[in-house]
Amino acid sequence: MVRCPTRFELNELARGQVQEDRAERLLAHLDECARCGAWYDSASQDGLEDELRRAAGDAPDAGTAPDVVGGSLGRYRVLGRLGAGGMGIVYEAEQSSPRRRVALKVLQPLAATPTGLRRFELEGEVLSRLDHPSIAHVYEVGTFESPYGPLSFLAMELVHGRPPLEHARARGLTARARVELFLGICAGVAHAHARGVLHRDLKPSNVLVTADGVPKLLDFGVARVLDGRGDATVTRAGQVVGTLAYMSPEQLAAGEDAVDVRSDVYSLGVVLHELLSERLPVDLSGVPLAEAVRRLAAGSTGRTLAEVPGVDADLAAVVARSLEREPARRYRSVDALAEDLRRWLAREPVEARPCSWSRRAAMLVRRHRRAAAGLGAAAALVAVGVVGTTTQLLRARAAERAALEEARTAAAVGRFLDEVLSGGDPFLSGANPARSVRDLLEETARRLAEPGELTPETRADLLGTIGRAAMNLGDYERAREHLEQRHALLTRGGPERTPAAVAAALDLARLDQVRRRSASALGALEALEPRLFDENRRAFLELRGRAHLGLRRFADARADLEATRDLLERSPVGTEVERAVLDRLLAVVDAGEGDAAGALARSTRALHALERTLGPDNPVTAIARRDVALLLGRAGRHEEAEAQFARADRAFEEVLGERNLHGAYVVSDWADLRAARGDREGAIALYRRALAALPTVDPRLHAYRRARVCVRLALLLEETGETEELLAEASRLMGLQVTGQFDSDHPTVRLAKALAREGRHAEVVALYRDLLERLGPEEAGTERTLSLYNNLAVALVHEDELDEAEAVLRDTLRVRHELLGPDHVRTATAATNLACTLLLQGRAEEAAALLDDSYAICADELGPEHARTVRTRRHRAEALLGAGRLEEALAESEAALALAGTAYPDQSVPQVGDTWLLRGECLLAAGERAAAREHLLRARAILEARDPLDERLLARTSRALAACERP
Amino acid sequence: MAHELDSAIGVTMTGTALLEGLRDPGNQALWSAYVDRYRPLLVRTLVQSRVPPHDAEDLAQLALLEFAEAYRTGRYDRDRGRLRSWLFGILKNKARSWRRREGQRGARREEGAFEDVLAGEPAEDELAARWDEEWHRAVLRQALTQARADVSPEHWEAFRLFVLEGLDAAEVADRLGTTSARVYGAKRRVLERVRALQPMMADLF
Repeated sequence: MVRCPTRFELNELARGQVQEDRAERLLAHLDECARCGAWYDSASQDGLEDELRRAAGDAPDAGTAPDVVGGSLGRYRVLGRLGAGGMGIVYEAEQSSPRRRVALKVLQPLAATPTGLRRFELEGEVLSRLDHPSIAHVYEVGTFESPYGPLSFLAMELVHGRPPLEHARARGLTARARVELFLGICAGVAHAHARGVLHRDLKPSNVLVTADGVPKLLDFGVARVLDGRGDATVTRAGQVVGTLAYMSPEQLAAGEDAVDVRSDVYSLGVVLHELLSERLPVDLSGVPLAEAVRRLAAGSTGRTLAEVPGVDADLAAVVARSLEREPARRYRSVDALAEDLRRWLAREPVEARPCSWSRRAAMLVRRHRRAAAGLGAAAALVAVGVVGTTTQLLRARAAERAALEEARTAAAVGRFLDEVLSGGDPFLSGANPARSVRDLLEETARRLAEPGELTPETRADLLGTIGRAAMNLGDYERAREHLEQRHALLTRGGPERTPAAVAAALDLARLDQVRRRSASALGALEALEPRLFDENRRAFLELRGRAHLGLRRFADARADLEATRDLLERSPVGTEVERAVLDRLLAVVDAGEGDAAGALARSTRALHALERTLGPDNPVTAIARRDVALLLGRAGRHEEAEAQFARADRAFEEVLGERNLHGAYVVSDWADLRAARGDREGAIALYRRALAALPTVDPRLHAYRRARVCVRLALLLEETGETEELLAEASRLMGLQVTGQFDSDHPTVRLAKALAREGRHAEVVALYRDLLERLGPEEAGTERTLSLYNNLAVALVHEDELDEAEAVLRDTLRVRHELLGPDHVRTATAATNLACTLLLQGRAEEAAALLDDSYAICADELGPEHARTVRTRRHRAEALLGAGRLEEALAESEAALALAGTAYPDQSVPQVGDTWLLRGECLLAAGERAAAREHLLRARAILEARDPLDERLLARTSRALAACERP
Repeated sequence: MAHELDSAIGVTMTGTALLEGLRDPGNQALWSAYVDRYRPLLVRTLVQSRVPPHDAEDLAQLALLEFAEAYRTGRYDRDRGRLRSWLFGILKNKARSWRRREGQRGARREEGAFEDVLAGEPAEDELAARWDEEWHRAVLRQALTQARADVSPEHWEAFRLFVLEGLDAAEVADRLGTTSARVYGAKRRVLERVRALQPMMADLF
């Protein structure tokens, strides 16, 4: 037997450090020698196997799909194979119910990596949102169980047809008919654009025309999935040139601006060019790839449509405009392109070609040939009018200037930002990585103030950017400064005359709205409305919707937000994010109008959309998550709510740092939920976190929330000095708060209640008076404010301001009488309260009359044992006693005392003491001193144990006890 | 199920040689190899750092075109930095402007949403980490592909079933009509090749 190699040698082998021939000898030894083999295997364990498995599993060419033709996949019977790509295979299949033929795309098992699956699912989702006769419809996206494991699939409309050019040739279509066919394609693309989907890979091979002449866009985006490694454009060498030709210059030119709808406009332009002339606009035949890229990126317009039959200068101009190298010079949207083509079909002047008045007249004559025959050319000229023509020409020139300007501006801005940002980029500057965004904004503002190459318009643009950023950072003073400067630059002190100036004014209104000055924002918007341009309309409506929402005018908010959504749906540049944000706001409206379930469903949808588009932990997503958490909490789904709060909190913290405003709101909402669930410790911890993060700068803005947190935390804490401090801060903050909004959860109300419990009635009176003064006129007369008046009156009584209390209570009673009717419990409560005040003034007869009615209502509505009924009886006994109706008083006080046992589970409350006191007084009046004394002592024991002491009741008890002792 | 790795073309070709090929305008096979080699890496890196797949495809494509153009016009100098960091630099810029744009496009109107903060500053660290990870994987795949060519088909098949497919040694032996010891031997051979090739492939890539 051969000598075994040394451990050292085996180690070298395990690290791949042995020459190939010696390695082979060593490996041969390991085959034979089990001992060395085992040693080597354990020495060479370094995770490489796992890494290789993962790396190989990601191989793009992974696997072949199972052959399923003739068999079934779920409820689809596979009839034949239509085609295959890198990630999936397309089958023709028959669906069992409803019974129909479909194209079934099945993801290859080995392509089903998490990434592959995600992509596939995303495609399915995008596609199933599209519903248009010119887009192949997706029926279902799902998964089959199969012997090969789960298979993802996508079932879509099976289209039999020919590519557009083939169809046009076969049918011998004229140029006009070809344009009509092309408009069908445009309709499909425009539909997708309206839903935020760019095709980005438009080419004739992705379109089939059915026998009925309907074009169908196939593989909308799925082309990527199917066509080799998920990319249709550069994967297969043979196809490269064919596909490149349809790509816009900006798609090709690296480093250039965004690909947007105008990129699809370009691709459509190529398709139209080819459809009309049967040639590509740029000759690429026999051109090497790199040269092709160069030519296309340079935007060479090689061929014209001049000699194509049926194509006149106008139609050629439409095609040329679609193929402009600069996106800004192309049609703004596919709709605009389609619109111009329709003009051409209708023999109207096209936008693409500014036209002379003579040609315009000629067209008019042609269009109305018969009518014009009688009129003559002169009349036609008058009808057209020179003015209109001039305007149009001017507009065309302005557009051209604007495009040039835009290009120059983009370059200047790019340079400017490069300078500023490179200072802030630690990778570039190598310094101070902790430099904050605020610093960066400062720096930008400082540099903007310096003279430079920027035009006033560009300067204004940048001021807008940093102004909005400051707004988002909560730095409102600075935001106002920048935004006002921008507005001034754009208006030069006059009214807004351009869309940009209006946009600047809108941003100022937005700042108001963000600062919760919705009323002021609304005022500004109203003033701005007559000067709006079309492009401002969406932002305007959305902002007005938000402002209405701020004022809780839900119907108005809904109207504006829905109008915004309609505009968005029609817009070619609307994004899924914008839609989701609108959905989020509409969910808030739903909730405000009482549709909690609808609100939850809608906000959950919005959340999912944002998770998908922006990522789960984007701050915008987190804002939506907070809504969902709040709604889940309200629906009693506490666990889920907690989870969402926690995630939103984390997301804000990650992006904005530990102490951030958004997180503070989330955390305090979360604390509310815990407090409501009885998790006192948990709630306290979160309230403390919220307090630490709620800013003390600009206290006015967040005073409401901070005060609310102070009060709630104070109420949860044991009585300590801290409670005092918290309540004092809340009180101070509420003095700052300017708001017309309030509800029973209003911090002032909570604070007042807390103070009332502590017997600090003078402060309670001050708080309520202040709050009531600040109520808007529309709030003042409503039912929900009456409870405030009532609380104020109670405090006034405690402060011995009986006349004012009486006046307030009489008002309350009158309004409730009108609003709720005479038999409502709350009307009865108001009457009881008024009666109590009258009793204190010694007006027992009047009080007794009021209490008779109150008692009857309470007994009917609440039952004889309800605390409020018992309370009314107690007061009634008191009134009867005061009015000298002793027998009735005795009976009533006895009943009240008997019922107090069940009405008040806690026998130590002052109400029980009061009942004993009253019974004692009645007994005393009846001369039963011993029994009276017993009752009064009991009353005193209860009342003395209370903190704070009710001096008035105690004094009454002492007086009665003294009377007992008197001979 | 077979783990099909790259075809022979381009596997052992250095990145520079591949790029040189791009200078030759007619060589579409080389263009294809270039795209095959680097595109999945770019796409996966982006998707891993939460760029939606659609956009990742586009950004990767733009990055490849930009790089090819930079190379063609002589702006890329291999001495000034490795291809790996060049490509990453381009990718980083693409990702950054994409995020900025995305943020501006939709999120701008969200009340006080701080989106510009996020939109302006992509998770650069994350992107870099993903890039390193994906690059490492790509190098491994490259090494694995070469190792496959270096060992006998029998050894490769045993390795594939045993290591990549995760079957039992006994089962693999059974299927291939050999012994467990031979299966282990096959595994050792392929792994040894991969270990030996790895540094070279890393330079090559």
